Amino acid sequence: MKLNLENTLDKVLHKVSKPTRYIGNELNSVKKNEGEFKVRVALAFPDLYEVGMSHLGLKILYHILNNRDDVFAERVFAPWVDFEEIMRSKNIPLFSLESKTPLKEFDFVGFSLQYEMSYSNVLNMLELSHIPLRAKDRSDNHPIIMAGGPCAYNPEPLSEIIDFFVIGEAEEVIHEIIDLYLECKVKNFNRQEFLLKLAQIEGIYVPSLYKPLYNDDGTLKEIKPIYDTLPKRIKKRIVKDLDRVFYPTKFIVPYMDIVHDRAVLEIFRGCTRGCRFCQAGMIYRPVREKSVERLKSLAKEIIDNTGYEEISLASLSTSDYSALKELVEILTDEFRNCAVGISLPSLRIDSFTLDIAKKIQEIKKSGLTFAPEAGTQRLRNVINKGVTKEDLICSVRGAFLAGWNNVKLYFMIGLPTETYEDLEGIADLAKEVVNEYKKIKGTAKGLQVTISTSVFVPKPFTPFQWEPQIPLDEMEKRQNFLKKILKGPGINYNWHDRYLSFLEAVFSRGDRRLGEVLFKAHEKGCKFDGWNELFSFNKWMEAFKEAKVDPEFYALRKRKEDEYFPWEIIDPGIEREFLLKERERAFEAVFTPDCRYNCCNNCGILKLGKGIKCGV
Amino acid sequence: MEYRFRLSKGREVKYISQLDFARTIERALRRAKLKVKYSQGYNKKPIIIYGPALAVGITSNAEYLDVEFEEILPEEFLKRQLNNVLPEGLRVLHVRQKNGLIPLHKLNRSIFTVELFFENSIGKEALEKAIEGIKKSEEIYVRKKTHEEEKLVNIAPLIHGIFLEEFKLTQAQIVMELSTGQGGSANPFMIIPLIIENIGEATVYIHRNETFFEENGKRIFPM
Repeated sequence: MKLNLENTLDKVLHKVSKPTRYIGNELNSVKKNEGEFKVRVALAFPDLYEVGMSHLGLKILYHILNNRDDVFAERVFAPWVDFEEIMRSKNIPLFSLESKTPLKEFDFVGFSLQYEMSYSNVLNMLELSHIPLRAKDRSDNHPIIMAGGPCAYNPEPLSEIIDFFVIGEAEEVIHEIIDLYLECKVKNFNRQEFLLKLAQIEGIYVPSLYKPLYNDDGTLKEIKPIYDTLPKRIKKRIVKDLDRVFYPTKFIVPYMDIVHDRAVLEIFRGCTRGCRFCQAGMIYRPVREKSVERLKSLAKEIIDNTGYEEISLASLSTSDYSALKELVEILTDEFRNCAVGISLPSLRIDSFTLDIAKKIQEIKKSGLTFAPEAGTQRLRNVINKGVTKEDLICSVRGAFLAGWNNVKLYFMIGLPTETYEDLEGIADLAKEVVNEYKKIKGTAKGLQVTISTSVFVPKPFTPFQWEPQIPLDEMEKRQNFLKKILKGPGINYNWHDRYLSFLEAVFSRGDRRLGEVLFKAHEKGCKFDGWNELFSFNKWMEAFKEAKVDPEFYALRKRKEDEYFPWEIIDPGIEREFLLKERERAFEAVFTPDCRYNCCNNCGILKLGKGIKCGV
Repeated sequence: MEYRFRLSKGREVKYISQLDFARTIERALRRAKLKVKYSQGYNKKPIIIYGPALAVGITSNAEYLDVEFEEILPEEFLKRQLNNVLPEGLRVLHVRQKNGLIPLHKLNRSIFTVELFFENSIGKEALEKAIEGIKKSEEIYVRKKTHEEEKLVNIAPLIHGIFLEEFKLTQAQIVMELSTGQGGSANPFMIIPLIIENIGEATVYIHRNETFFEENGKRIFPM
C-alpha cells in the first residue's frame, strides 16, 4: 500500500500547486519503523500545511508523543482543492506526511480545533480518509477520533462526529489517554468500553455518553450523563508548572514558506487583563510564566536545532511578561552575531515597550500594531480594554520619532452598546494618529495607517456570552459608514467578511443540533470556509434550511440570565457569577483592573484546585 | 573568503522551490555554526550567490552556490560541517575556494537525464521518431507561467541536444542538453509531454547531471 502510494504521488504531485505541502521529509520530522511502536497517532489540522505548521500546540503534541518509544505521531493537513480532486479521482486516501500511511490505519486521529470555520474541513478530511463521519457508525477497527483546542470549549456542534474531546492543556492528559489505550489494546479491544473508561479521566468529554434535553422554546434544559458514574461537568486540564513541563526544541523546519515561519518561544500562558469580549483571556487562566533562565536555554537550543533566523516570543500579551526587558536584552546579546531576529507579537505598545521595540529593531525591523478595539473611551470601558486615547497617541508619537511610519490599528464593530458615535471615534483616532505624524514630519507623506475592523462574535465563557450579535444588514451599514468616514491621506481601511462572522457566531455558541447542518453543508461541498475563494454563504444557508435549523436562534438571540448553555457541560474554572458581574459592570461602563496587580476579582479559577496559584 | 559548493538534491526534496532551497541553506549554515559574512543594514542576510534555479520536481547532482565566510576554512571541514546538519536529501558533494572559478551567473547550459516508466510496453521506433521530431523542429511553443501572466515561448532554440540513451519495453532513458539561466531556459517537463503524447502515459523522473557555461562549442565547468 505504502510503496504504491509513493509511486502514485510521483505521478500526480507535479501537477498540483505547492506539492511540498504533501511531502514531509523536513528537518527534525520524525521517522519510525513499523514494529518499533505500538500506537499510531495522526495529528490532523483542518487547514492547509502552511497554516497548521504555524501552530504551536501541534508542535508540542507532536514531540511529546514522539518522545515515547511506543507511539508514532504523524501529521496530516487538509489538501488544497487541486490535490483533493486528484485524490478523489485516483482513489488516493488521505495519508500522513511522515510514512504516507492512510489515516484509516491509525489508532487515533486527533483534530486541532482553532477556528469554528474549519469544522467543514474536519468532515471533509474524514471523508477523504474513508472513515465514517458519524461517531456511531464507526467500529472497533476504525481510528478513534479525538479533538482539542479552544473550540473544544464548546464541543457540542461536533459531538456527533468526534469520539472524545480533550478539554484544556493536553501535555499531561495525552499520556493518560495513550496508557489507557495500550491497556485496553492488550485485552480484547472494544471501542465502547475504551470510551467509557476514558470518560472517567479528568478533562475528557465523550459526547456519546451524554444526552442533551431541550425546553419547549428550543433552549437547552440540560446535558445529562447517561450513567451516574460519569462526571456531571468536565473540568479543564492545566499544567501547573510551566518551567517543568515539556517544551520542544527540535521544531520541524518546513521547506515552504508558512504563515509563521520562525522559532516559537512560549513565554507564558493565560492573561488576566479581563477584556470582556476575549475568550482566550478567560479559558486559559491562570497566568503562568516560564523563568528567564529556562527561556534562555530553550531559545539557544531551538536556534541550534533549527537554524531559524527569527525567534518569536509567544503569549497572549507579550508586554505582560514580568521580565520582558531582561529577556529581550539577553536574547539580543545572545543572537547578535548569528543575525537571529526577535519578534514580539501581541505587544501592547507604550513608552516602556517602545524602548524594547527599538532594541529589537537593532537587528530586524517589523511593523507596529495597536489594538484599541473600540473608538471611544466609553466603549473601551464597556469591553474592559484599559487603553486611553492618550496612551495610544503617546505611543505612536514615540514610534514615529523612532522612525516607524507604518502602523496598524485593530478595532471590532458591533460590540454591545455600540453606537455610530463609537464608530466616528474610530475615524477620529485614525485622524489623530495622522496629525501626530504631521506634527513630527510636517507632512503625511510616507505614512501608512491601516485600520482593520472585524465583527464582534460573542463567545462562550465570556461576560458577553448572553449577548446577541448585530444582524447582517446592520453589519453592512456600519462597515459602509466606516468606509465613508475612513478616508484621507495615509489612511487605509479593510474589513472582515461579515457572513463569516455571522456563521462563527452561530457555531461558537451552537448546540448538538448543528451537527446536522454540518453534514448538510459538507454534502454541498463546503470546505475551507476561511478562504475567500471557496466560502459560499448560500450553501450554508441551504444547509440550515434543509436541517431545519434557524441560525439566527444562535447568533442573534439575547439569552436570559438563567439559560443553561451547551458549553456549560465544560468547566473551565470560570464561574457564571463572575461573568454575570462582569457583564453588569460592562453595561455600567466600569473598568475592572487586572487581578495580577490588584485585588482578586473572584473569577473562580482557584476552585479548580490541585495547588493552582494565581499570578506569578 | 568565498567558497563554491556543489550539492545534490534528492527525491526527498525534489519539490522544494529555489526560494525554499535558499532558506534551507541559510538555516543549515547557522546550524553548522560557520562564520558566514552577513550583509549590513536592518535585514541582515548571509552573502550567498546561487547558480541557475532548478525547476520544481527535478532531482540534481549539480546545484552550485558561493558563500562568503569571515575566515579561511579547510574545504573538507566545510563539507563535513554542512553535511552534518543538512536535511535528508541534500548533500554537499564538493567544496572549493572560489578564486578563479567562472561566476555562477554565467552558467547557461544544463544536462538532464529523463527516466520514463510507461504503463504498457511501447515501441522503440515510435519513441525515436518522436525524439527526432523534437530535434528537427524549429518552433516549439510552450506555455510559460511567470508570476501572473502566461505567455507562449518558442523553446526550440533552447534545445541543444536530445537522444535516447536506453530502452527496455516499458522503460526509457532520454538525455537532454538545454539552455538554462538568465538568457532563456527550458526544462524537460516542457518537452516530455510532446514526446509521449502519442505513445502512452508514463511516470517521469528527471535529474540534472551538470550545469556549465557554453560558448561556441567550448565548455567551462563551474568547478
